[in-house]
Amino acid sequence: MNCERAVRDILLESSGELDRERRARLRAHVAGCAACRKYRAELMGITDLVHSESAPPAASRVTADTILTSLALRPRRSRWQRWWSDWLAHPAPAAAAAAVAAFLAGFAAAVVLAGLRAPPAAPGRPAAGVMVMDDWLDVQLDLLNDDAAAVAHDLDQTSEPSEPPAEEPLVEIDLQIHAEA
Amino acid sequence: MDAQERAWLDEYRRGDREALGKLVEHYRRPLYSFILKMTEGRVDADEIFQEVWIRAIRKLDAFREENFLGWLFRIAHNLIIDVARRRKLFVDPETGTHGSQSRSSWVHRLPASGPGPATHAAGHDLGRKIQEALARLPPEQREVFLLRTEGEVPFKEIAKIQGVTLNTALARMHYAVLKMREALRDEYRAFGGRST
Repeated sequence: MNCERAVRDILLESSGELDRERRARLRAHVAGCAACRKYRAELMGITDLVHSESAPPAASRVTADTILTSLALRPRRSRWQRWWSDWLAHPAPAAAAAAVAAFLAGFAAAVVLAGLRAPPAAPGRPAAGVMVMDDWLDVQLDLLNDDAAAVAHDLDQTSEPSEPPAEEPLVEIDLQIHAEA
Repeated sequence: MDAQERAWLDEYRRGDREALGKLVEHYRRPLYSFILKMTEGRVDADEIFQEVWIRAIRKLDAFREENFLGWLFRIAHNLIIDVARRRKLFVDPETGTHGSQSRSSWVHRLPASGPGPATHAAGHDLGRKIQEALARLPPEQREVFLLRTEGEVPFKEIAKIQGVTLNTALARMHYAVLKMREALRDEYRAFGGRST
């Protein structure tokens, strides 16, 4: 056992969390290690010293009666009241979360309203709400395709006329060969 | 939790108010000392002490654990963090200004390092020196040290309270002991500590 492990075990021993086997190994190490022996003695000394200076119980005025009276006077807050209180304590993250929630709720409401206003779906066709979503997706895909086409067009306009590919003469020769044949 | 503590708890659950009084008295010293030393007297320790019991009573039906004091300490730990977040009366150790809400760690809103009102209020010399030494510890180390010395809370329970690994809790205790030993070297010898 090295000293690092011994320090860890000395601490666990002080709280009664060291099993029998490790306690025996620690005892063997401490018997031959002056530094760990000193550390163990100081740990006990310091904790005893601080414990001896704990705040005297008389410093606290709270009794079971004051606790129970306070408990009776204070109505238990509902989950929503606690949420509201937390919101007031941390407004920025709560506001961001509320904004996201409002956006999603608005989008969902728009879809539902569109579905309600639309005529009933014909047999074998999807419901209006689903159609609205499909339409929306189609529009987004069209826009993406349009954008892609526009970019391709712009590239064509800006690029230099390309040289004829090197293979073309070979094709012509080949054709000539066929013509002669 | 020993048999007597369990008996008081069961009696209170059956409606015996006096049993609560016995529990409060039994745990007063470790719990109140922990709160007082963690908050350095900058908040009303009585207020937090009472709130710990109120929350414990409200959640008593859900309590199924073995260590009642450890559970009380966990409630106290969460309350101190809440108070630190809500009140801007703690001093940022880096800037010297009052802690802002933007700091993510509650640690930064705990009492500033150095002697606070509780230190000045401490009666005699040894008490004051211990308070000063404790106040200079980083809050995480101070909490581990106090949970061990005041509450005799096992390290596994401390790790659970702080939400860290057992090794981290042990390391915090180790560093706290080294710093306290350094700060209280003379007092420790006078107290009868062996230096071998």
